[in-house]
Parts: sequence; C-alpha cells; structure tokens
Amino acid sequence: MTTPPIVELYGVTKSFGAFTVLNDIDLKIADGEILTLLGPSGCGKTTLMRIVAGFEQSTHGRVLLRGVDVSNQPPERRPVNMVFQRYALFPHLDVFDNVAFGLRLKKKSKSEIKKTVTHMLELVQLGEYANRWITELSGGQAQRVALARALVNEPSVLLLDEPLAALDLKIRHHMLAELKRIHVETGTTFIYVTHDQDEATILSDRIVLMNKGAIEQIGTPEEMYARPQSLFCAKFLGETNILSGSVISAEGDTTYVDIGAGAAKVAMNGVPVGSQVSLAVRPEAIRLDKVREVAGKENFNFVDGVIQDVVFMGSRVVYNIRTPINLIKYQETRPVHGISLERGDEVRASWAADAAVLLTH
Amino acid sequence: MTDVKDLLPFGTANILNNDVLSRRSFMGSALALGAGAALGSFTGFSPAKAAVGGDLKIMAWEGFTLENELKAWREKNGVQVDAAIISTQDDVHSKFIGGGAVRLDLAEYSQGFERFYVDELKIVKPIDIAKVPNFTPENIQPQFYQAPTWYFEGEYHAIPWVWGLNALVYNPKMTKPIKSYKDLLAPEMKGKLTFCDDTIATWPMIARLAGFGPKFPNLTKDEMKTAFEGLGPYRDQCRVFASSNGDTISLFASGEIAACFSVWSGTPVETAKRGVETVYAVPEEGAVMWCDAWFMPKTSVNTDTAHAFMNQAISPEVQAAVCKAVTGGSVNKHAPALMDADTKALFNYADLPEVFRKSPLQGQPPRTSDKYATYDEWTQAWADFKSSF
Amino acid sequence: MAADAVDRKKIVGAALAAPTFLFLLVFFLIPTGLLFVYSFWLAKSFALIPALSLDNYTRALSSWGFYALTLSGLKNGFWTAAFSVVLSFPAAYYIVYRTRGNLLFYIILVSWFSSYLVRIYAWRVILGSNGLINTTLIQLGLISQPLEILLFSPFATILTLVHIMLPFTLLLLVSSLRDVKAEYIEAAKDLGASQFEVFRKVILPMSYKGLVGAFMFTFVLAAGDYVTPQFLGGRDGMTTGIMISNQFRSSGNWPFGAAMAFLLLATFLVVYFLFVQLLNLLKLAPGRRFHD
Repeated sequence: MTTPPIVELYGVTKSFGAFTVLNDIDLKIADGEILTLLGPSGCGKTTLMRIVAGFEQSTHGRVLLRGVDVSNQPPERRPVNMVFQRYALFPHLDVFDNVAFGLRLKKKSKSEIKKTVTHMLELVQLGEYANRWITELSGGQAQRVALARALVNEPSVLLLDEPLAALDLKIRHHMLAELKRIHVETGTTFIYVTHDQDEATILSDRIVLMNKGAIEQIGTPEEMYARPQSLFCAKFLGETNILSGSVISAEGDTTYVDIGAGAAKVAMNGVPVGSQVSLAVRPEAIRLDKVREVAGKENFNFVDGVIQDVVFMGSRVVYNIRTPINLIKYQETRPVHGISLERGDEVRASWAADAAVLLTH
Repeated sequence: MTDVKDLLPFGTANILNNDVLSRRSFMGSALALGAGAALGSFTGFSPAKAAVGGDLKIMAWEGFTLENELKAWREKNGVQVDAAIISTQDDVHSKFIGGGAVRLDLAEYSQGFERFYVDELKIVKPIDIAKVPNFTPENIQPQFYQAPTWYFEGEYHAIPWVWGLNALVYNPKMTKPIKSYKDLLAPEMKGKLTFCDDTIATWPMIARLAGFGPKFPNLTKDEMKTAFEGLGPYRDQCRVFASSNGDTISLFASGEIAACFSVWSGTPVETAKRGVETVYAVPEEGAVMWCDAWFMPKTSVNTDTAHAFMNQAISPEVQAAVCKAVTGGSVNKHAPALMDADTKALFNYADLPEVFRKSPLQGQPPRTSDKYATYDEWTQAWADFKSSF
Repeated sequence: MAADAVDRKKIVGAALAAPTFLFLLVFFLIPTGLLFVYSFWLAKSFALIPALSLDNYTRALSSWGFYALTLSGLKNGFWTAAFSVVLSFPAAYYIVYRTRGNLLFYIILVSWFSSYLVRIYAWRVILGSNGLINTTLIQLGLISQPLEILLFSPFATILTLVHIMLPFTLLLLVSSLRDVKAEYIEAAKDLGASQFEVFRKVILPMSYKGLVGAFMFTFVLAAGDYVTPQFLGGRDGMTTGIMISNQFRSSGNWPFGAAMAFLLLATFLVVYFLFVQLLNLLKLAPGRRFHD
C-alpha cells in the first residue's frame, strides 16, 4: 500500500473457553477501499468485524485505526460506524431523527444537523422520506436509512454486516450498485461482511476469504476467482471442476498429473513428484466437442464422456457431463441460434494447460 | 320505619376478616384439646321432656358450638348437630332478610341485637320456658335471669349462657398498676397505648369517660361528639391501632404496647402463652360486659331438640367446660364449683353484683333515631377518630 | 375458499378468547357495574334501598377524612412505585443484558411465594422496638433507646410495600426490557452514545409502555392497599381502603362504600393521566419528532 493503512489487525485471536473463533488474524485495510470479509457461517467474519467496531474484545492481538491502538476503546469512542444486518433503526424516532441521532450526540447545531441530514437523505435517494416512521418503510428503504444514519457521522470506516441479506434478489442487485455509487461519492472505507460470493465479487476491491477462524486467501475478486490458492477457495467462489490425481513429473514450467483418465498438463510448477493434488478447471474454460478428435495441439487436456443433463439458466446453459473419473460441468452463454448439444451425446471436454490451477490442499 | 320487604337482601361475607383473630374464633384450636376431659357422666340435671332427636341446624360463634361438651348427650339422644360458624353477627340475620329464608333451628346473638331481631326483623320465636327446666332462679344468676336483654313483653326471647368482660389490659412490667383511665395519660405511657378495633368493647368506655356511662347506648348526637372529642389526649398516647384482639395480643407479646384501652378479658391468658404477663383491670371507670345468648329463629323446625340443647348449654357441667374452653363466665350459679382454679379465678364470682355494677351489660346504639346518635353515626365517628379527623 | 378460511380464523380466535372474557364479564364487569349502580342507592340497617341519589358522593367529598386518607394512600402508592421501579431497573437490566438464563430472576421471584400476612408480621418483628434491628443496634452500642421511627411509620409501610411489590415490578420491567433488543443498544453505542445516553435516548423511550405499566400497576396496588398501612403504618397510617372496607363490613352501607371506591378509581385515573403528561413533557415518550 502506498498510503498508510486505515485499519490494521495484528494477531487478533478470539476464544470462548476452549472454542476458538478467530485464530491469529493479521490484516491491513487500505484507506478508501471496499474490503469484503467472505466466508461460510461460523468462519469468524462477523466476529472479526465486531472486534473492529468494538462490540467484542479480542482475547489476544491489537486493532489500530489510523495508526492509533483502539483495542481497549469502547465502540462509542471509535470513529467507526456500522450498518446492522437487521438495520436496528430506532422505532420511536422518524427517519430524520434516526439519521440525526449521531449528530445530536455530538451536539451539532440545529441548522447544521438539518443541512447534513437532508444532504445525506438525498444521497441515498430518500429525500422525501424525512418524516416517515420506521414502520412505514420497505426493506430497501430501511436499509438506506441505516446506511445514511451511519455515513452521516463521516466515519473513518463503515462496517456493513450482511446488509442485503433480507432483500429480494432484484433489489439486492440495485442496492449493490447504489452502495458502489455512494462509496465513490463519499470515499469512505467500507468493510463488508457477507457469505454471498456474488455480492463480494461485484462490490469489492479486495476479498478476504475466511474459513474456520483463519484467512484462506486475500486478493482482488479476479485474482481470487482465476487463481485460487486452495480447494476451499476454488470451490467457494463460483463453480469449479475438481479432478484429483497425483503428480507424475515436472519439467520447467510444466507439471504432469495423472488424473485417472490419462495425464493432464498444467502450466504450473513447484509441486514435488508423487504428491496428491487437485486440478481446478472453471466450467467456462472447457471446450466441448461432439466429434472425437485427437487432442493434437500440445496444450490441450481432455476427458471423454456423455452429456447427462442440459440445464438452461436464462443467459447461459450448463451441461453436466458424466465421465469415467468425475462429473464435469461445462458452461457457455446461450447459443443464439439454439442449443446444439443434448442429453446422451458423446462429447470430449478439453482445456488448455494454463486454464487449470494446481492445488495441493 | 321502612318496611322490611322493601329492602333488598345482601350478604355480608367477609373476605379479609380481621375478626378471624377475634375473641370468638380464637377458641378453635383450644377447643380440640381440653374440653373433652371435663366431661364425665351428667348428673343432677332435669332431663328435657318430649321428643328429642333428629338433626339440629345451629349457628354459633367458633368455640361455642358445644361440639365436644355435648358429644355424649348427642349420641345418647340420637341428635345430629349441623353447626355453621358466625364470624360477625350479620352472618345470622343475613339469612333472613328478604325472600328464601333458610331453616335454622338455633342461633346466637350478643346483647344489643335483641330489639333489632325481635321488633324490626321479627325473626325470633318465643321460647317455651317449660322446655328449658334448668333456667330457674335457683340455678341462674339473678343478673341474667329475666334480664330485659332477653326477657321482655312477658316472653323469653333468648337464653343467655356465656358472658365475659372487655376491660383495660396492661403489662405490669411496663407500667405501674392502673387504677384509673387517667393513668393512661401519664408521660411514661406515651406511644405505649393502643385501641383495639372491637367496638363492643370500646364504645361504652368512651361514653363512660365522658361521664355519659349510664346513658350508653343512647347518647344524643352532641353527647357522642363530646365523648369522642374527649378521647383526643388518649389518641396522642397511641403509636398504632390494633385491628383485632389477635393483633392486640401480638402487640403485647412483642412489647410494642403497655396497655390497651379496652379489650377482651381473656387477653392475659393468651399473652401468657407467649411468655408475656398482662392483667386485666377494672379501674374506677369500670369495664364492659358482653353476653351471648341462644335464640330460636322463626324458621326453627326441630324446636323440641332446640330447647333441649339450650337446656344442656346452661347445665352446670357443660357451663364449667365451656367457660374453661372460651375463657368466659357462667350464668349457672352451680357451675363455678365445678370449674378448675384458673377458670374460676377469671371473674369475681363471690361478688357478682359488684362485677355487674362496675361492668354493666349495655346494648348497642339504635339503628335509626332522630334524637340519639345512631349505630352508623357511631361507626363514622369511630372511623374519624382513628384517622384523627 | 379464502373467505371461509378468514371467517374460520376469526371464529377460532373468538372461541379461544371467550372463556377469559366471559369470566371477566361475569366476575368483574357485571359486579363492577352493579356496584356503580349501588353507589347511587341508600342503605339502612344493612339493607339496600334503590334510589338515584348523589348523597354518598357528596358525603365522601365533603369529608375531610376522605381527602386526607386518599392523599395518604396516594403517597404510599407513589413512593412504593418509585422505589420499586428504581430498585428493580438495575436488576432487570442485568438480567436481560448481562446474563443468559434466569437464575437471578427466579431468586428474586421466590420471595413472592411467601404469604402476604406472614410478610407483614415478619416486618413487624424485624422493625419492632424489641425487634431484630433495634436489638442489634443496641447490642452494638450504636443507640441506647430503640428507634421508634422504624415501625408504625410511613417508613415501615413503604418498606414493606416495596418488598411485596418489587418482584412484580421486576417481572414487568424484565418483560418490557426484553423487547429492547441488544442490537438497538449496540446501534446507539455505535453512533457514539454513552451508557447514560443509551439509557435516556433508546432504552427509556423503547420500553416506555412497559415502564409506565409497571409504575402504574405498582402504584394502584400500593395506593389501594390498606392492610399494610393499617398494620405497619401506625396511628396515622390509615388509607381510604379501610374506610371503604368498614362500610362493607361493619356499617353495612354498601352504597357509601361503593361511592368511595369509585371516587378512588377516578383519582387513580387522574393520576395516570398526569403521569403520562409528565413523561411527554420530559420528552421521554416515543412518537415525537425532534425536528421541524
């Protein structure tokens, strides 16, 4: 990072008795980025976020905000605000007063509050809703009020705890776009928590993939998708075909793996011969041919099989191919002139040597 | 006077009844013990004539049903007694007001209610005195025989049978002996006096202190007012008002009070059980007497057995037994000889006329009157006095 | 069919509510109505005379004693409710937000299982001139004469009433605080509220109904209680309740008693109204806007 990180976590561990939720987490978050903590439930992402917010105290480790150690500071003193999963909007106050809550605590003047709150409501496109009561709002509107209420305090970091979980799919996508727009307009650092990899992929500058209290991998969405470093990561983000086997030989930049239906060539190195490995191939990286051709070109690996089902998913089509070693998924965008392959067709699935990722764990 | 038929009936069931701890119901537990031992064979009483037997429905104060004392008599004569318990006198006459009068062979009333029952409510059947052969001048103390409380207009309306005193009770260890009510106003007594909420015990003494003693229960409205005003200094000596006899006993036992203005004379027996000695005094102003009597309600059916029951109640042995049980006095002259020392010592049987002179039997204020203070007015004045207004 | 389903739901709902409603109707509403009618009647010698008369009401309202005793009762009610709410609030807060499980809650509720009268006598024993507190203080040499003020005083009345009411108030407060979920408190803290500000700006307004309910229930129960003041309040500790009960018991004047009872009811309603207005004034009630 070129500018100093806005949030730093060193050795953050959280245990409840014998049960460890977070294990020695180190993380640096850049100023102004959208960082997503992604993972299945129970992985510790929410706990980690709550530690940053101050609602939980880590058993070991430190939290720094703008270089200041805030590990022992209560949440009300930290320059951090949170959008809660179920919004937690105060039912006894209307929209305006909810948003103004934090400003009133800072004893800002009435005119300043009015100006700031009105502006923030415009920002989240709820300008006309200032006098509504919370019970009169729809899910999406409530979410935006929660966002406004947090952002109006100009926090150093905005934490979002699965904010879209309670919304419909269409609204969710709309809100993601809104969030991105608001992020650009305010420039606030976002820490986003979710278990939904689509949200993470669409929204984030960087993703922190977590599993069982530890960080599996950190990277941009594209890095995480194209170059997963573990089976868990490969399987969590998007669909993958996993072929297991063992390393036969390695030459220079190339490794040969016995996948049970012949040898596969992978453009990676560094894995000792004889190790058990997995090959991860994305469905869209596969090429499907009806006619059995010999894989003449050097970089092509292949497996032969029979199409088991054809799944039409609107803009794309997914084929499940039964092969002697595994069930392979192939995916393409919907052919405009009609789907040519059908169930029962004998096909050859092939992929390039650099289209697969070699994973040791 | 309004015709009784125009009045609507209602009962007076008491839910939270302070009288639960009153003298009357205090007997309950004591009776189960003791009384049985005083029985033996009955001798020397004239048996009742005519058919005695069957079931008898009675209403009496708790402890006064003669459950134990007449057990043998009941068995011998095949009598089944079905006794209901009175907690306040209203329980009795509420059974008769309005339509649907209930069968009741025998019931009690305390003095003061005779005119109300006989003249106003008209619920009393006259007694055939021939069927109560024990009730003779030879057997019965003269103060009770043909006293106007029960014998008037040539008829016997009720048979008196147990009496007692309500008097000034004090703790001799906390104060010097009390010779007069004025002793209660001494500075040492400040905060140590109480009034018990028993109006039968208290009102006559209030009248007496104001000098209207013989006039009670018929004081004019002004006289009553004066009497209560005169009580002011006594009120200042109080820290608390006892809500019942039981409460008074409890206050003595815990040492919170040194004296009670006027309360049941059996109180010392009870405080002694709790290890605190108290005595009842009859100071120069005197004390108040109460007396219970049996009467036959108009709905009485088994009148022969009712008469026989009453006759038993005033026989010497039964009198001795019941007086011991309820800490009371007997109307039968021969009963004291059969009493044990403690029961006999309760009252000065040797000089009963003196007891009567100092503690006369007085009734209750009239229900309605233009000239005199009525029962309601007394109740209101008493309530105001307690709240000091 | 949808219409049938809706109707059936209504019928089932009504059937479930019916027994309780009927019970209240027969044993509460109707008798209360009857008593109200009685309050305009007259009585003589323990019997009722139907009439349409305001005599009972004027008699009560022109009795200085009635006002004084009612004031005494209201004072008892107010102090008892105030102390009960103030004392049980921290306990309720602790039970709802700081513990899992209900152990402390049950412990406090256990004190409720003792008999009402036993409690009164127990306090007499503890507070009396020869009671626990006085003998201990004398033995320790802190005082030479027993403290008379402990018993037969407003102090004793309020102490005992609070002791009796506290579990009840606690129950109501816990119930209403449970509605203020932890996430609202976290949200307030996140926005910068200190502990006190969380209490004043979030917890109080959100548990407002429960708070008012707890206060008022305790108030009415304590203000109407006449047995505790009679036993522990001393010579000047009487309340209106005893006047009313006397009318029903020894005087046999039900109409007068009923009139006083309804006057007392009216008084409580007025107090409730004033209390709500006060809370509004202090900006503690929900549903207000703080902006223009």
